Amino acid sequence: MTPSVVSNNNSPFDPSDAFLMSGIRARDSESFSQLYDRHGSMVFALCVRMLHDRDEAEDVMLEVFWELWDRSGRYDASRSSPLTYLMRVTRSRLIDRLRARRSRQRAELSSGEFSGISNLELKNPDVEPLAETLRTEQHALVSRAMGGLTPEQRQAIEMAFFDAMTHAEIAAQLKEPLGTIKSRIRQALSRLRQTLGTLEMS
Amino acid sequence: MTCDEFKDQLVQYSMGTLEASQRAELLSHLQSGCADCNSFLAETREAVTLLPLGLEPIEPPPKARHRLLERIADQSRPMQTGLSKPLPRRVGIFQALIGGAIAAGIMAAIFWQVETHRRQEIASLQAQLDDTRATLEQLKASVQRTRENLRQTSETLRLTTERVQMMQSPGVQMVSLQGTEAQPQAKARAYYDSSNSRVEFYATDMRPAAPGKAYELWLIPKTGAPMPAGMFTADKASRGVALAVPSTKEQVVAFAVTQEPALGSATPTMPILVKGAVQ
Repeated sequence: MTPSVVSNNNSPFDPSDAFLMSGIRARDSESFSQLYDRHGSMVFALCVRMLHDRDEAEDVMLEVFWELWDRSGRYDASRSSPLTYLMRVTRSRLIDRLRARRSRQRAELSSGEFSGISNLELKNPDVEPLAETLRTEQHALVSRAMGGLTPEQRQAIEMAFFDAMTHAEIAAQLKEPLGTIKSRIRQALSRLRQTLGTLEMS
Repeated sequence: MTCDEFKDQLVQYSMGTLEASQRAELLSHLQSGCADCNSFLAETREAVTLLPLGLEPIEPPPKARHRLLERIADQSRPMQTGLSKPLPRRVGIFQALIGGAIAAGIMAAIFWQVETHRRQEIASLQAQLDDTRATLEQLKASVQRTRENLRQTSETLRLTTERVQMMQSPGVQMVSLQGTEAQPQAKARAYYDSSNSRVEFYATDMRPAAPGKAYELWLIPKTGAPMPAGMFTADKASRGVALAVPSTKEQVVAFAVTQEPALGSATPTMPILVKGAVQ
């Protein structure tokens, strides 16, 4: 086992995400562990939120971090920050899983009508997307930004983003006109852009 | 399709929910260079990419971490060689039962297997060598990082010692500054060493400067115009700012802070935000 870099959570010399990614590319398992310890719970939270199933969430999380290690060459530091890359890879796999699950569900349903995702949501009380405890600055800022939306806007964004539903699916689910949903989401995004505009993405 | 309609599609595209059939037309529109739509996509992506950070983190099960690290360790272990497998012995019986040509084929297969086993062993030794080399590289990188950490720590220690010495020096005056009605909550302290015009300036509870602007410290002389003494921002509270101030023949009677454009200004822009007089 390689000796670990001297650092602790309170040190001003905590290695940055970019530093850890270069460590991972150099096959340093210590860098990998640090990155996992730093971002694992957020990746896992996203997986649980989108899949509503902890076992499947664990599978996807492992796939994501394994890809991070095994295909470390794919990360291009000039294109995105490590955190953004991690989020993108995670979401991409989660959406693939959701699509596969939904086409199975659609095949199983006797009527061809899409339903069921938000029913799953109601049955999962331990998942609280925007709880009050704020751990990091970014977490605080994003929570606050979401809190600044109207309840309808927030719901629409959550269904679009965290439940990966199309505008049409959301409109059908909420029994609202398609145009209303489209403009609601555009307004929500506009407000989010304003409040998140100052967020450091590194 | 209008750009407004494209933008609704771009929203779905950035969230990964756009129908595959609609993708081609959308991408060709983006590639045609529509600035409005391209910047809309970039902004929307920025806004949504970090939404997962708003979720309350959930601790993954400890076994997950264990599985990952085990898999990493397995990857660098050398391959199992095939040499432990015994070679089949009953070549003679095969020859007798099946016939020469087939037996020859089997013999060839067995020789091939021996050759493969040898190759595997060489590959395994090579892998061990590579592994050792990789470990050596990791150790080197680790040492390098430790050295860098140590250098940074020494540097910080040196600067801190300098600051403390300065504050304790008998020739240094301490000036307390208070916020004016523009920023009543602000507090600041300046340590002024008139012998070398060195100023250590600390500000707390200041609101972050407006976008594109920064705070500027001014030395107010007994006569003449206020002298610029350095710029600072107030993103983290209680961060000390050491400003190297051009030496002045004038006697300094007060300090003031104003908000200026980020690159500074030749004269202070009213209002004064924080001020204090030398006693």
